[in-house]
Amino acid sequence: MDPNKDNANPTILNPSDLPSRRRESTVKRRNDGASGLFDDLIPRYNYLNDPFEQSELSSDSEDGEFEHIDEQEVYDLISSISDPEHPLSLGSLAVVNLPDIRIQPPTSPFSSISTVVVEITPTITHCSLATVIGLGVRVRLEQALPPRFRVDVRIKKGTHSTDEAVNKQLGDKERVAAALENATLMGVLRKMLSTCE
Amino acid sequence: MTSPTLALSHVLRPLATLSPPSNSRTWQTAPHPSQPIVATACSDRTVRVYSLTSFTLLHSITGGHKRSVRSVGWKPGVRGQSVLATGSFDASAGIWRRREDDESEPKDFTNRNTGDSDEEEEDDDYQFACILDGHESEIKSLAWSPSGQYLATCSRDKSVWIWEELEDDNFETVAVLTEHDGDVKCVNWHPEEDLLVSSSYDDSVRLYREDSDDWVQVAAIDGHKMTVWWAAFEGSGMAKVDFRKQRDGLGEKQTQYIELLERSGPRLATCSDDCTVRLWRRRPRERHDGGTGMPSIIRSAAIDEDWLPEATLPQQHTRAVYSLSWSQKTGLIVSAGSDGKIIIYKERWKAPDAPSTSNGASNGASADDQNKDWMGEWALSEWVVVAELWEAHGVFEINHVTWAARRDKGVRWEGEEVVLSTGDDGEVRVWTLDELDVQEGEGSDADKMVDA
Amino acid sequence: MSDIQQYLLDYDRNKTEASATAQKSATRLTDGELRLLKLIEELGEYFNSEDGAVRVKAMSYLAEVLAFVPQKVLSLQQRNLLCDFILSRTEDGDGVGSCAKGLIALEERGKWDHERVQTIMETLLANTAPLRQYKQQSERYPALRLVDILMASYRDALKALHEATPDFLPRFIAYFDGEKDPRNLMMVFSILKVPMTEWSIGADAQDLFDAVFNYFPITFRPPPDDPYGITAQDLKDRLRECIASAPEFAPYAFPALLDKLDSTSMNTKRDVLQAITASVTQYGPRTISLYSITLWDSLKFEILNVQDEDLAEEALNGLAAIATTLSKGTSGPLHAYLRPIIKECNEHFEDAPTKQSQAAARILHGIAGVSSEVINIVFAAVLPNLLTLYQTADTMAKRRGLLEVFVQLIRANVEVYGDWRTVGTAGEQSANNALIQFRDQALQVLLSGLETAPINGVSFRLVCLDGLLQLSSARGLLTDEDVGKIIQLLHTIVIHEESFGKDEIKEAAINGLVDIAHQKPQVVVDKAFPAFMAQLPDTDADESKGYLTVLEAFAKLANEEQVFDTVILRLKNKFTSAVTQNASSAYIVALLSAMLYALTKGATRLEQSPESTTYYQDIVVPLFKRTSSTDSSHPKTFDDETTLDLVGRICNIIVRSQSAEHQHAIAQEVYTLLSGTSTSDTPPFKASAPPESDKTMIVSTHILASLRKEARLPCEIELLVSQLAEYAQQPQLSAPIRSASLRQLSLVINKFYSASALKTCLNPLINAPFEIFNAEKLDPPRIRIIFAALKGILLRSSPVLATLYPHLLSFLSHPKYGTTVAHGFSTLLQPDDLLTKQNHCQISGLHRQKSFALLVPNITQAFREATPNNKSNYLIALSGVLKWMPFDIVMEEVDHLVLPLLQSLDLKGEDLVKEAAISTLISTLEEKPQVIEEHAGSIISRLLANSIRNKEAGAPPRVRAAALKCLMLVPEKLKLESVLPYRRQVCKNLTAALDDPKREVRYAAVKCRSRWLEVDEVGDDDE
Repeated sequence: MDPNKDNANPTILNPSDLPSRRRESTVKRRNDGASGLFDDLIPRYNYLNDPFEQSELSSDSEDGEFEHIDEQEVYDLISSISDPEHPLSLGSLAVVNLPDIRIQPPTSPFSSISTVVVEITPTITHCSLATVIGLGVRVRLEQALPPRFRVDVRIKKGTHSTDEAVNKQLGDKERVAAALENATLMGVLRKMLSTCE
Repeated sequence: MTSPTLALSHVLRPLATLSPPSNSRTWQTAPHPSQPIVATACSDRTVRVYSLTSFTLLHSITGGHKRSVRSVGWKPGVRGQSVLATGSFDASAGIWRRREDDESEPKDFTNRNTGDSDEEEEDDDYQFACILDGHESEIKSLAWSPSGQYLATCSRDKSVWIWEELEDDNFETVAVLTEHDGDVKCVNWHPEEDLLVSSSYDDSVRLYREDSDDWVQVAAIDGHKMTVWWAAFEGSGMAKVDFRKQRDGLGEKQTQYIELLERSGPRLATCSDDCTVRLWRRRPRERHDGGTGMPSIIRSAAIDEDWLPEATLPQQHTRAVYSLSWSQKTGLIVSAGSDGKIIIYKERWKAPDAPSTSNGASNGASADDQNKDWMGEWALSEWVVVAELWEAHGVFEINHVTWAARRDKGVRWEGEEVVLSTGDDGEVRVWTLDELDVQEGEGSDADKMVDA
Repeated sequence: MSDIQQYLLDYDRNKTEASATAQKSATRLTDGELRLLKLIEELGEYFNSEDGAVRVKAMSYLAEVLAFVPQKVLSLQQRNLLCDFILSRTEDGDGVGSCAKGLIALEERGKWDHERVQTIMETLLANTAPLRQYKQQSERYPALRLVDILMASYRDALKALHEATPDFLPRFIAYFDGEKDPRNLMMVFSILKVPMTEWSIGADAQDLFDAVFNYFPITFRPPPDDPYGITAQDLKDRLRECIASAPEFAPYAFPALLDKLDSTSMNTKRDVLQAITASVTQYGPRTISLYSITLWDSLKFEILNVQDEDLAEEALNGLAAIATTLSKGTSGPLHAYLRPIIKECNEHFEDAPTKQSQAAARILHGIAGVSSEVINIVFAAVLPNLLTLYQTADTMAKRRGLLEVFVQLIRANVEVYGDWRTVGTAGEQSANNALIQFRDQALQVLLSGLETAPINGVSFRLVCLDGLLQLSSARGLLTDEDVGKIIQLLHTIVIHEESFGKDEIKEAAINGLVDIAHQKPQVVVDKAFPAFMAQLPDTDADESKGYLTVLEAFAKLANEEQVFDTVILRLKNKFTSAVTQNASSAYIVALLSAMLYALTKGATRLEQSPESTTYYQDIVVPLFKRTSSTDSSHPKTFDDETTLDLVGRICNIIVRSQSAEHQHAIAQEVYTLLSGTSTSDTPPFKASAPPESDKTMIVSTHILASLRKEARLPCEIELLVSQLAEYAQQPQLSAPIRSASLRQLSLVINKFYSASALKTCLNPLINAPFEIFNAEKLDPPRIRIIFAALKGILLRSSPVLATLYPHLLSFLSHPKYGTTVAHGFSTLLQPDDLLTKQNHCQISGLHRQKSFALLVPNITQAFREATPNNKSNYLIALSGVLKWMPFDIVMEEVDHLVLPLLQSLDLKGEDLVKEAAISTLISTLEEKPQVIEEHAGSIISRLLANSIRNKEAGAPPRVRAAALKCLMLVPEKLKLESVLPYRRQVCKNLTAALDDPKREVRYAAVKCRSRWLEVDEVGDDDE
């Protein structure tokens, strides 16, 4: 075993079992159950964009519905972060799990501030990198979510020996801000986030 | 807009946003003791000096720090120049000087559009005077003592440092206080005595004073359940301006209560991650050994102080409360934090037969704190929310609020104050506090506030 | 002055002069003008000079002369004399280079005998060792060459010398000690390789080994201007060969190598692993058997805790190499080697699925693939354990993990024993495949796994499925009956299983069927096809769309050529019966689609297939009939344009592959076939014609597309063109029919005009009465015709474009239709699925360049001069052209395009234009960022404006996303100093895009913003 790793032999989930919207988008569900294999037999553009009608049909604008930011989207944002000690994603290590992500709507009609709560599960209870991982998740979300979201990253109860301490650190805005100005730490985080799509 | 659950007597109205705003997070804003200017600590490593008359940028102080500037403070009581202290995440504090020309600053308009750019090297610019090194990690807060003799700084290295300026730009470390076992988030000075307070990540608040030229902790306050972000003292002699001003018609108990407060001296307010704002009062000494002017032999014995929970303000915040400010003019308290709200509280006499009112005004008595019974008999005042503002900086967090004298043309009365809020959006906003008269119902001004 | 004096004079001044002199002497020597003895005498005084430099030059002179003397001039006796003389000079410590050169020259002029060779060697060692005493590389090099020549041409002599003189080898090795120069080292390595491989080195093995291993690992970086072009790799390779050359090295090599394996440098580790692999392969089984386990104990870590993928690969190669070598020897050592491996792997499997159980599987896969013997041992020891673990496993995840291992092993098995179509590495011996005895259990586990596992156990079932495929392909393993079972399970999944999640299982199942069809076509035809057919009704009375999935799956089977014909045949029959029983159009369309899909998959095959004529008879002709029929046999569906398009395409694919003659015949009937009427009044485009005959336009266009350009049309083309033009103008035409007629116009012009005729092909339209370029008459129908015609021409990049394009450009300022024309430009180069090479169209390789050159500069020019209200037209036209232009063409002009492109980002409502502009900007950033550098500010602000949604005049999602993608490139491609000033502003503004209503936009915004956040103030790396 490799002594300088906290957990040299983590359990690994199979990508097919990880929830993700990204890959779904390639296959769209259709009412007739077909996969749309035959859809492109007749190339679309021949009839559909007669450029001479363009001026009218242009600005195809918002095709209506508002795709709200949901837990799945948050999961997709953070599951691809890679673990600082394995070349594996937090998703496949089950450090972040869809059911442990909650989006809490604004507490009052006068507020538009929602809260994202992410509970992470370190690969083992004394993983010294829990803080770094947590920080990575928090930073990723602060960079990727609109400011109307407050991000609370916590260690899942009972999965870590010092979870309270870690949670307090992750919750401290000032410490996080300072951490992001620390070149060394930032280096580690960049490496973790470099695998994010 | 105001929450319907409270009947509010006041409303905060936007007066201005200091422009141009910073492109990144701003941490704290310090009004100048005498001039109509403020200094704002920015995460882009600069300090921005704005005018409170024109609400525009006068100077951008750059090049001093390698990391975020977290805290700024004007040295009080200096003539002929302005002295600014800056505390940064780069673990150093800087002292800056600017020669002071006529109070009304015409430069204002020549410099207004300097924006972030630090091109202009005019000699009326802030000059770097000296650097205070010593802290091992980020400086989180600093404060000048009222006399200007001392400068206190605190840091993530868990220590509080007190510097004394022997002569210009020659600072000596007079104390390194390491009582806390967590980041020290805030330091502030007592308005009348050389008494320093610090609040910390370790959930505690500590007070220090000099004892036979050695600075020592004289009290520790554990009431908050989580990080204490800010601690500030009440102004000096507030009894003459706040709810105590009107003496006639008061019952005997109330008069005694006022005397008690008088003997305690200015009170202390703290706010915390636990979403509460709490007040603390020093237990007065017995008449005969009235604090000062006593033989120095036994003083050190008597130096320890006892700070009692006085009140817990109505809890309006739903997330960490980062900052509060206690008006020296009106005794009003303003608080703000992560939930983006600004709350204004006012102290008043309890209605004689109603121990605690709908506003959940909880003071020592109803506060779940120790020596309840002792407090009980004195619990004669209560705090109520008089104004509440949602999303003062849109969806962004508010890092700091403070009262400041209103200095623009529109000032309505002698000594009018405005609230300055400093946010993650890089903006410093200026608010006036207006009393609601009867015909102006909640609804209408709620609408007005929407565009805030 | 004598030659030698002359030579000495020139030596330092001018080397070539000097050589010339030497050559002169050589000629004189040859012509007998100069006698050898004389020459030596002359030299004498210089050889005795006090000054070493002079002595060296003298020898250099002699060496050069000898090198110039032709063969046969010097007698054997003379040569021997010279040889002795030169050798004697080697005592002179001042230079060995020239002596060596001289000797080499002599050697070239006559072979030496054993004893002379030995003397030379000995003298060299006696007088010139160690070589490093000579500081000049140029001194040492010739000596090394000499030794190398001796090694190469007189092996026996030297070997004999070595065997005769006990202390020879040590001295020999020491001779090269401390060589540093890469060029020389190459020489040294190849010299030393001879004793290593050919002599008995016994006691000197270690010295010999150290002599080369001292240089390990090679860290030399060749100088940029190295004349000999020696790379570090050359050195590494030779060094590795040396290390691997003698089994006697093993006791020193392996410990030393394994010790260096702990290095932190990836390169060193890589060299070590490669050296190990090489040695393992060379040293032979007996030696390796002593080290195999030690090696395993260290190599495994590279795989169990991967630091670096390719290191793991190297390590794996090493382990496999050991197995390979050992299988060459007796079985004992091989077992001894495999035992601990199997043991450890088995242990790792107990807590599958983990990083290490995966690694263990990888190891076994790597080793098992080596030989039939190895794989049989591994199987015997691992499979039983796996299967028991599997039976006792408590979680789905664990079972999956175990099966993954299992499947990997079967895959290795297929590599060794081969599949049904090809013999494996082990040759034809599937009979003794150890997998046979686990066959039934494996099949049962995998079948029931796939069949009984809950539908949401996707990954688990996928593994089972993969396993089954491996089993079914393993050569001679399963009976057709067993394969049948698998097939049945698969098609049941395809047909009956309810859809779940991303339907990975269904997809894998159908692809699996294709794979099996590749191995066992007949079984698939027998088992699966009936099942599929049974699901396809002859008519769909009940409106259920259930057949769709079945059809999709079935059509996919056409991917496997061995069943292609059968698939087509069954589909055709289904179609016929469906039509006769007049099934719903939906069903018929589905069947046609399936047929078309299948045909496109088999298109390449159709080309050379003899069946293609029968396809024409069986499929095309009947389709024609149905299309043209007017009686009851005419299916309603065939009045629908989509159906007809499908029909057209099916015909197109089949006709395309017909022989020239046959096509000619078809061409004659191309219109009549459909109209049923006589040839007289073709083409049948008449405004008067009944609407349903309009429909046949679609089919005829497709057929026309399929014809070779040699095929002759039933009517003369000028007429055809003007008629099509007239026809296409009719207002009542539906979009598909209009498009069909316009494309037919393009096709005719592109294919059937001679190059010369092409120049005038538009005249019928340009001249009165039509006057297509008459600005007064301009209207959308005519604009369409102009573009359709031009499209046909530009593909052939005919010179006539030079006269046609100007008309078009002039229309951009047309008061009424300027904008319409502008939009047309995007159609010019838009790829068209009918105008293709497969459809025998004439497409010049340079047509894009041509149009670009004729259009773009003029557009940009005109844009600059245009009036404000016209400007947008030119921007639209420009982006229309650029949209389909490969960037390498745009590259040249792009400097002039940046400004217009940026301005088109300000256009309101022209979203496709913006999209095109952005994509060009993206390519510009990627290929030629420097031209954007100066516009950093304006591109950033414009992209920001387009990436953030605002109610009024907001760009649509696609544009917003594109803008963000482009904005992301800006910091990547432009200089830091040009983007740094905008960093905070961009990051702040992008927070708005993070809250975009559309997910795809947010996705792009996230990527863009994180890229910008990385842009950092310089000099921030304290701590």
